[in-house]
Amino acid sequence: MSKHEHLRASLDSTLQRLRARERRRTTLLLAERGAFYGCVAAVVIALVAAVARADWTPTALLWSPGLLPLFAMAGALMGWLRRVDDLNIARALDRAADSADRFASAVQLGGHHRTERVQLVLEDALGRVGGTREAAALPIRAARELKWLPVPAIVLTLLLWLAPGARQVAQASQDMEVSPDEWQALQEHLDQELADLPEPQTPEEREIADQLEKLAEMLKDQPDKKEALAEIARLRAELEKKAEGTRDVSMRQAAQAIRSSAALARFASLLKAGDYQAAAAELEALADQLSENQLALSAEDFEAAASDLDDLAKELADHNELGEACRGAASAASRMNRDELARALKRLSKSLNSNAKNLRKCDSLCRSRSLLDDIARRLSQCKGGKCGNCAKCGDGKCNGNCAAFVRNSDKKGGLRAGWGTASKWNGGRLSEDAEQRLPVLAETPETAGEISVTPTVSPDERADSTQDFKDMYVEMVRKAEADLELETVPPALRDYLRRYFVAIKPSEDRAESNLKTD
Amino acid sequence: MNYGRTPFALRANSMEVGSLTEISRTAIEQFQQRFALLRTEINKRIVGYTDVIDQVLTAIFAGGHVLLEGVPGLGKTLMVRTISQATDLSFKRIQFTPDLMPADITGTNIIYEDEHHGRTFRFQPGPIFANLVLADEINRATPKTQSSILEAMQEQSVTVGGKTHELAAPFCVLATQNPIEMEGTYPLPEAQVDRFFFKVDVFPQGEEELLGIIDRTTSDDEIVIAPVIQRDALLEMQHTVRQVLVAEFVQRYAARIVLSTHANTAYSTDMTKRYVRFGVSPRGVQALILAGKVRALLAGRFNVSCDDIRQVVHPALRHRLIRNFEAEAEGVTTNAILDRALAAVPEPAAAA
Repeated sequence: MSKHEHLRASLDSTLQRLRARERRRTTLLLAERGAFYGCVAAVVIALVAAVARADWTPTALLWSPGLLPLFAMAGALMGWLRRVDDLNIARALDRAADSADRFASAVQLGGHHRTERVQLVLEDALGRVGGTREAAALPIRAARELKWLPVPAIVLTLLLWLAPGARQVAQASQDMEVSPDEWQALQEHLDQELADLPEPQTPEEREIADQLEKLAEMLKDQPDKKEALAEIARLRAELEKKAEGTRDVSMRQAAQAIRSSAALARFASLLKAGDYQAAAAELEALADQLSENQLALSAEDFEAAASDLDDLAKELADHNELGEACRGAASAASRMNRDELARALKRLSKSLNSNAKNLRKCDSLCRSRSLLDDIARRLSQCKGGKCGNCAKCGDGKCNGNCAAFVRNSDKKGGLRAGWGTASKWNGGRLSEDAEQRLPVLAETPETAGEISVTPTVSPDERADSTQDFKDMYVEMVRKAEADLELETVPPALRDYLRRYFVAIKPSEDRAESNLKTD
Repeated sequence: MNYGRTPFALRANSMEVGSLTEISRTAIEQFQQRFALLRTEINKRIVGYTDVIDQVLTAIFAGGHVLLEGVPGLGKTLMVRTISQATDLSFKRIQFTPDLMPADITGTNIIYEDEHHGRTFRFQPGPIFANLVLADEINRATPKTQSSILEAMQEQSVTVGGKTHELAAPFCVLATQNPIEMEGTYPLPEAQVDRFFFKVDVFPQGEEELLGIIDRTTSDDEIVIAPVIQRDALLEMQHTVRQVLVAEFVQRYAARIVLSTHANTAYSTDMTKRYVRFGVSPRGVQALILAGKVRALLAGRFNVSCDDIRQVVHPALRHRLIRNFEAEAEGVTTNAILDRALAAVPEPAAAA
């Protein structure tokens, strides 16, 4: 490399470093300016939004601070892409080195035909500026506008704080979905329920119990409401999976059918306690007593037994073996034949014994599902300690104990979340005398329109309802019809709804359907 | 690009091409030394006037002519004479009077009788045929007489009787003007004033300088000025000046300053638009660049800087700017207009 080329290379190298420095400088400068003007723009938009008080006001107020980083990034990008003027930076280096335009002249004279003279200029320039750092030539200073940034920032903060739309949005985002008291009540209820659960006997029951305890631990951390509901839904789905293959029969619930027969009272209590083997043994003993004429049954006793066994058979309709055995026993009891009844009871006992494990498993799953549903319902009903705009009591903090509240929406109407998802309901028959349970308040999107919720049961779902089911049914149908008229619902979903309402209809009106169809 | 240029020395017709030296650090150091030597020698007799002497020498080394303006008795003539003595250049003084004729300056053909009693015309060169010509009180001669010297300044030749006589290099006219006496004077036409490289204002000096004058001129000590720079060396210095490179941004800066003195350009200032009748001609930008080159060499640089240009704006341009009547009536000087131009015209890439 000749001396001239070497000098040119040194010059180019210096110029490269200066260019990089200038690019960084410009990027920072324009980013700072962008931040300032972004803040100003945010103030303008927030001001306009606050004055306008339009539908878009809360959104505008929420998003306006985002202009600051946006403008800053845009400024940084512009600074990075801006062309660097070599003469600018060369003269800056000359000023820093007090070199009287030597370096700038060397940069511009590079192509001069008098190469010997150019070489002299290059040597002189590089010798003079060699010891000068790029930072001295191109110092990074804060943009002038930056010192004024606190002004629009403070104004913006005040606007966001004082503007009503902003407060609503802030409050909406900051509002607790579940208040600490509600979490406390929920945790206590779950702990109580877990304590009431029987000791797990099988590894499967142990696993379920562990999962429920993990859920209890999770709820102690007061997670996001949606996360908690999602976890509950996940656990429920796992239980559903475990329940596949087992006949979904709640023997304990079915035992409620045995009401009138004194002979079967102990059997029923053992069934309700979930001790199916003992219940089978009781049936066996009863059968033995009948065979050995140790138990005297009157006609009324036989009739009562037949009625109870028949009701039990209906409850166990989904379980072929048990249902068949029950029907057999009911039939024997209705014929008032002791021996036949004894044999039928033995068959029932045997069937009960052989299915005890499955029934226990089913009980465990049902219990767990019921617990999860209960927790999910309670969690969904949590309002963060507030009732919102309560139409009934007018109290914004009635803690959700008010009978009803109405919330207005600017969109069309729809059903309140809580009816479950239609896609999951298979249209199966529900038991008429099933204990009142509110549907699971799953994660369904609310649609628009006037929404109403009528709590129809007491807070504890196992207690007696405060309202007659017939009255509640009529009200539910009326509201569903009103919402269906407003909302465009596909025919398939309408059919789901029709079958649902038919299934839960009070028994004396089962022949007619109140729900109109398309 | 070379543009097919002829080396300066060939134009001067006084040096062999082969003896021209390329600019180097040695050449710059030599230039600085000779300049300093010259200045020191001149200062033996001339007290103070550092700027004036520097400007005059700058013009000489740039190959230009100088118009010195100042009240009588400031030593303008003495200064020029001293410069001539220090530079070993032939020197002639022409005292301009109203009755001076062109032939008195350029020379004329006179009838000459030879030994055979034949009569022929022989050219008798005038005082203009010197290296350094002092045109004293040039504004006292008639325009016709003024034009004869001005032609020589521009062409570096004299035409008499249809025959052109070249003037020897270096050729420099140092003219003086008295700004006080206006009666009986013929102010130089603006177009003619434009031919002077520099117009140097000579002002009365201060107390210390007057003490120096008293000391040197009122005693019986004779100050001898020795020639410290030969003619060839001066020519070489002039050649070195021309070799200094000027970057484009400096050229643009000089051009923009000149354009700012015109009323209808992008760089015009408010004062220009209001007070200037005619702006600076292209000779002005030539003067700026050449003078800038001299300053660069004196600073030991191979390049001209914007600051060099700024330093020479006033002497190079003040006489080239023609004011209108409003400026004269309001007493707005060309210096003020140039100050405004310097403030208004930004340096290329000044902000970083």
